Amino acid sequence: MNGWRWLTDGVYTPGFVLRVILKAILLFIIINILWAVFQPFPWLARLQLYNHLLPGRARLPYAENIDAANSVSATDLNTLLYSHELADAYPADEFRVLLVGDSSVWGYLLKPDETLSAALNQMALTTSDGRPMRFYNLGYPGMTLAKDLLLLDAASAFDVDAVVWLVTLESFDRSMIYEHGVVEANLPRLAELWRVGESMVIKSYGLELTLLRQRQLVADWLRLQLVAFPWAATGIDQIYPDVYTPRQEDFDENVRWDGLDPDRGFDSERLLPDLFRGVMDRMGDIPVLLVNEPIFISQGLNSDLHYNFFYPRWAYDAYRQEMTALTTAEGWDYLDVWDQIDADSFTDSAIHMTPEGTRQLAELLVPSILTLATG
Amino acid sequence: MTPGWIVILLALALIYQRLPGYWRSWVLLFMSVGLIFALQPPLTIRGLDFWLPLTTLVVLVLIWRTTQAGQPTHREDHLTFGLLVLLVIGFASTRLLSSPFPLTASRAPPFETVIPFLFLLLVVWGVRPLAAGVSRRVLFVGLFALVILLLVVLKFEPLTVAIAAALRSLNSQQITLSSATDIQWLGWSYVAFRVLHLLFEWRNGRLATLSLRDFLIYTLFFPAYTAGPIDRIDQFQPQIDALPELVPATATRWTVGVGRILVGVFKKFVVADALALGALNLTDAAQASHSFGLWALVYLYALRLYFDFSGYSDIAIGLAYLYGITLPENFDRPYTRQNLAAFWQSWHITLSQWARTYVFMPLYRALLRRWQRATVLKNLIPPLATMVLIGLWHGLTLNFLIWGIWHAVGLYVHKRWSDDTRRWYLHLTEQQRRVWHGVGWFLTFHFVVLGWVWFALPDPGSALRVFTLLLGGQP
Repeated sequence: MNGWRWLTDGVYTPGFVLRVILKAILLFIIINILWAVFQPFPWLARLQLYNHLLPGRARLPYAENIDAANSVSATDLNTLLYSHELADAYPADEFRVLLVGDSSVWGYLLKPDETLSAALNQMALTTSDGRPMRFYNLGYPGMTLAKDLLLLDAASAFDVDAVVWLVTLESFDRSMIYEHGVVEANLPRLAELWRVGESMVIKSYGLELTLLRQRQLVADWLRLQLVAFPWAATGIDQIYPDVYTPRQEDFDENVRWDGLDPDRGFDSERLLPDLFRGVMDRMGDIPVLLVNEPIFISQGLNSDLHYNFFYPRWAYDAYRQEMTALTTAEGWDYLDVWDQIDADSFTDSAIHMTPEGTRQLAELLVPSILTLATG
Repeated sequence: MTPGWIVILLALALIYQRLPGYWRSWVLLFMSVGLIFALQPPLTIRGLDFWLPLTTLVVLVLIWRTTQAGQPTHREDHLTFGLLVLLVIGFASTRLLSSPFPLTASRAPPFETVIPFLFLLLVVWGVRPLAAGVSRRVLFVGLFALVILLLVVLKFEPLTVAIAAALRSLNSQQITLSSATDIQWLGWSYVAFRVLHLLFEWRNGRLATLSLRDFLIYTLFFPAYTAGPIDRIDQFQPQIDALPELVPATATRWTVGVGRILVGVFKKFVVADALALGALNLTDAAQASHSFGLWALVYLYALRLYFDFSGYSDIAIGLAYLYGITLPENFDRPYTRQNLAAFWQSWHITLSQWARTYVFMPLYRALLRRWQRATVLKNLIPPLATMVLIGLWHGLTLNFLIWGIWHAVGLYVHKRWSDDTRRWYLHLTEQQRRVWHGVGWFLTFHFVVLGWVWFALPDPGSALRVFTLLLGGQP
């Protein structure tokens, strides 16, 4: 068969084999050195099928099961953002609003047209000067402010007009603040934006810059392009189980939170004010609305001690007080809707809402958003 | 076969090539028999991943003993049989080990469950005097039916589930969990083709004397055990005979063999596995709502299938070459072909040739004797029977049946078109022919690609939904 003659017709000697192996090793080394020197990946990550050949994703790609979810949990910020519809072309008069937060904003168990951003887009809001408002879902599963900061920083390159940042107490959990794939992969950038412990930041040098060590980034980027096709065909980017375990309603009597108990109390430094200031500085003139997102309030066992699985009452109440004080002192726009959504509107966790609950939240946000846009 | 196994077999090839010539075929026998146990995936029914390879051996010894009944049994055959029994006992004895690298899919079953298989081996070894007194035709029918029955058990899901339930019951395992995946008999689909080839040749008086060792190496040859290519015994056996004189450890052999393996590994484990992320599957078929994206999924499936299958063939051919055996090619740029007949001469070539030899041509000759004139039936029945059988070999489902009919009709249309336009084609200019070849390629490629929709999905409803959406309709 002609197809293999290039291989079978050759005359090979041990010297030839050795030369091939040596050349392959040399080529491998050269490629890695060139990769380390030129660091092409940030540029490569911007080359995507999304927003060009295929539609951009309605929310950042995240998957616990790649095959079924038509998605990949990448950690590189460019890979994430350039696959998003945020990177697509847009009308010149569009007022672009980013929604940032955790899995409740991302829309866990919600279809792309049931998320908070979709609900707001369906309202067809306009600014006071008639610009159509378009909301972009930049939520991402994981409760850590550090992740939000990194995403906001990266997204600020996309002509953002306003930001609605939904937070919850769990995002301030110091033991978990760095426990996120996106954060771990972008610690050097986080260190530039916010005070990070020196020992935590692995400064990239030498082998860390090579293609060999960055192969996971390239693999994630490539896989994300491949799942672009089933995403385009189905519009599905998440697994929707037929049955899920409802949020927990009964609790024990342990009221510790993040190593704290009522006796030690909750101090204002817990709210990481310097991180907030870092975000506000980074956003510059872009108005930011901080929102304390709704939570499920249980009526079950020990619900007098706990609001829900995440929050003992004493900690959450203290958090709300400190948050109000901080935002007032700093003059930040802040909206607290913690108890505004019915308990029946929560699904598998204390923060994940049903489509109806999400629509209710959207309606609650509208006045503040319109004020933000005017400001 | 995983990358890990490929590396192990490459390393073993280094040792194999330095063995004295006479040892090589024995080592091939040992490796081929051993690997049907080692490569068998673990199964949920306890012990079944050991019993299935045992069943393979019992059936093969039965077939060899029967087809070689007219030949004297040589000392070498007794030696081979003895080694076989010792190997089985050896593998069964691994139950006593706590090795972190088991040679069997899971811990070998209790020895008392292996004894019946050993007894069966001895029984079939003794079948030769019985077989000598039975007509070849009767024996052929019996053995043919046995092989087909075992294939049907694997391919017909209701039957597979029923047998799985029976085995679970015997094992005191939960029957309600029975499923077709309980019985995954690695390699039997391809062993069946080789065995049927041998049976046909034997029935037609064309099968040469075959030692048990050579018979087992041919039927179980480990590089091609799981997914082909399907070689012919008249091409394979001379290579075994030539092994003692072969100079395997040459730079050329290693370059060609390893080069072929590397290409295969890249095609299968890099390209095909990556394409799988975007290729059409049942979930996407049910959820799809956009035509353009769905077309992309269908194309990706077609590419994935090619790279997966041809990559596997490349690995098999490369490995076999390192062990001194040249296997036939199985793919020759099938998606570049300009008509469906040419496609089937370049896709899974060895299967097509097998089907052509044992299904298409006998049927065509029989119909030719019956109907001298060209008739629709004479031109339709052979490809229909052939393609339907190929389809059903993949699985006894309506979708595989439809896929077979799809290609049969395509082949028939191609034949009629080719016959009817022969004169017209001869009058075309060179440029017109190039245009026509382009059109032919486009039509052939899309006919094949759309045919894969039946292949990829488990039921006609899903396939029809995909076709509706592909054509711009609303499912």
